[in-house]
Amino acid sequence: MYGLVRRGGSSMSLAEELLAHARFLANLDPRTTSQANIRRAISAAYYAVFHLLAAEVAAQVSPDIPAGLRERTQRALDHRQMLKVAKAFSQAGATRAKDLPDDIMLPDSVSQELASIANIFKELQEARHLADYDVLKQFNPIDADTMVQKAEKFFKDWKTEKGSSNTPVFLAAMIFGKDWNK
Amino acid sequence: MADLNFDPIIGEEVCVLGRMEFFKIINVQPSCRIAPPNLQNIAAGALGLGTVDLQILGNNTILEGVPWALLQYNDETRPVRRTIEWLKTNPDGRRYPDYIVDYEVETGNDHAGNPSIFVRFLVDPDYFYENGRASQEKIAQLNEFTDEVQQTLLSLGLNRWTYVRAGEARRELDVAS
Repeated sequence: MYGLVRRGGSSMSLAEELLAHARFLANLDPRTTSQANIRRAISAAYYAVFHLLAAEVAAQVSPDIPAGLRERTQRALDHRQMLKVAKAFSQAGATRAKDLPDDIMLPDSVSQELASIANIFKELQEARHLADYDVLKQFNPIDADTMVQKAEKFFKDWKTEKGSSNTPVFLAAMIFGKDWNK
Repeated sequence: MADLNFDPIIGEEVCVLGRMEFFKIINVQPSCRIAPPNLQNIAAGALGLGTVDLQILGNNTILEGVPWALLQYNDETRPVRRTIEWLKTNPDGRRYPDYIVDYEVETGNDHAGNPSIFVRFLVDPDYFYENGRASQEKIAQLNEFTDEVQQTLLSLGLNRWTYVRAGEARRELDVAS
């Protein structure tokens, strides 16, 4: 479970709901689907992975009592900082994360799964920006399918990576990394 | 990636350290050493290996025997294009998918302002659609391929961020026309 349980009738987390919504939109008949559906599928795919990470970051750095504190912590996340961290962890096998302070050591080299998570986040954030704002760009159904499947892979890889020794550094950098060089 | 090299090739446009003109490579004396991409302007020439003959663009003046070390490549997409061309030879047991009909490589900034290189593989949509639906298995194969390309490009140590994705070839062309 990632994040708040919603009150709209579903027991899924917001991240899971967004992923399901992205899949629903991507599965619409490609012969009749619209630009709006494709763009919303890509956007929902990004926000699914964003909210998954946001919930995980908040769970790591904030207690859940009093009620709402952890959810409020998620609001402190900044998309660009998260993008920087994703870039820093995007190369599988790397023994240190680029742009992190020298004294922040990675316990292990970056795994295939963490590199995949980082790259997918980076790709989806850029695609989301295009989908939401670039009205000149023409999207096609395969764009939605590839991006939604990337988000699904992200969720799968996260399950594998979540307990790894690098994950605490990855998550902490997402929210605090910009201030580590003060 | 042992056989991936970034040696100069005939037809490439280059600058030469200390010269103002633009040149075209008209002859290459091959190096016996494979330069890694981050040393492509240094290694071979620094060791005295490899020279090129150049023609100044716009006239017939020829410069002979210019060491590779002095060449400067203006096209920042060069290492990416060369890597993709290398991938097309199916090296190291990798497979360059048949359904990719073309690719585009562009420089620019991403939405956050980071200098980036955008790679877009244009795919034949007929390969992906079965009974009017995209095959999820084939989409997964496509994503695996673009992920592999992404990791290969990351290993080059480029200064720009790389974004690798795919798009439908035919529909793109329809839109363009």
